[in-house]
Amino acid sequence: MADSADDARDALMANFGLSEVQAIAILDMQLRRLAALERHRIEEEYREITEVIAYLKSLLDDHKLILGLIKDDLEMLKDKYGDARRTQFAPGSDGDFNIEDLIKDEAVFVSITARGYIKRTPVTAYRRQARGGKGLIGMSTRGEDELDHLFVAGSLNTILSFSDLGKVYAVKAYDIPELDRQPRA
Amino acid sequence: MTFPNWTDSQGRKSLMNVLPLSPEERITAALPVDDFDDGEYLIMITRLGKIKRGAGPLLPMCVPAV
Repeated sequence: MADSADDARDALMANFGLSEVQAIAILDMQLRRLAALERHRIEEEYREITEVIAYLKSLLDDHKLILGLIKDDLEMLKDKYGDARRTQFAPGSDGDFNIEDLIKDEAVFVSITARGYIKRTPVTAYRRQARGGKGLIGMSTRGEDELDHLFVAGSLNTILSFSDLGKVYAVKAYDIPELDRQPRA
Repeated sequence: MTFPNWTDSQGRKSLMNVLPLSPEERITAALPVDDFDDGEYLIMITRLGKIKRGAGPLLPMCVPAV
C-alpha cells in the first residue's frame, strides 16, 4: 500500500514503466471513481439501515406484528421440518407403569406396639452419637403401651404379619404410615 | 361396636387402618420379605415346641392390606 499520492505515483512509474503524467492520470481517475463508488455505497447502506430501523420500530410498536412474525417463522419451520407424529397414543393402557418405581428404596424401622399401633421410620432418623451423648428418644408410647415388634425392612419389602388367629397379613412397607421418631407437636 | 382410632394423640396410626384385623386380634410375629422366591420357606416354631415349614407359595395365602 502506498503511503502517499507521490509514493503511489512513483510506484506506478517504477513497476509499470509509466510516465509521470500517465501515472497521475491513473491515480486521479481511480480516486474519482473510487470516491463516487464509495459515496454511492455508503448512501445505499444508509438507506438500507434506515429501512431496517423503520421496520424494527414498527415491530416494537405493534405487538400483533411480532406475533405475526413468530407465526410466519413457525409455519416456515413446520413446512421445512414438519413430519408425522412418531409416538402412538394407546388408549386405556398405562404401559408398564409401576407405583414402586416412584418409591425411594431405603431402610426403614417398622414398629408395632402391643396396643396395635404401627409406624415406619426411616433409619436416617436415627444417628450415631459421640461419647457422653444422651441418646435419642426412639419412640414414645402412650400410657400402658409397649413395643411388641421392631425390625428393619426395605421400603419396598413386603411385611408379613402373623396374628394369634393364625392369619398372615401382607402389607408393603411403604404403605405403613411413616412417622418420625417422636411425633411433632 | 368400637371404632379404631384413626390416629392416637401422637399421630400414630392404628394397625387396623393398615391391616384388616378383628378387634381382639394381635400380631405375634412380623418380618419383612424382599422377594417371594421359589425354594425359600418360612419356618415357624411355637411356644409349645411345635415346628413346621410353610408349604406352597406364601404370598397368595396372605390377607392383603386394607
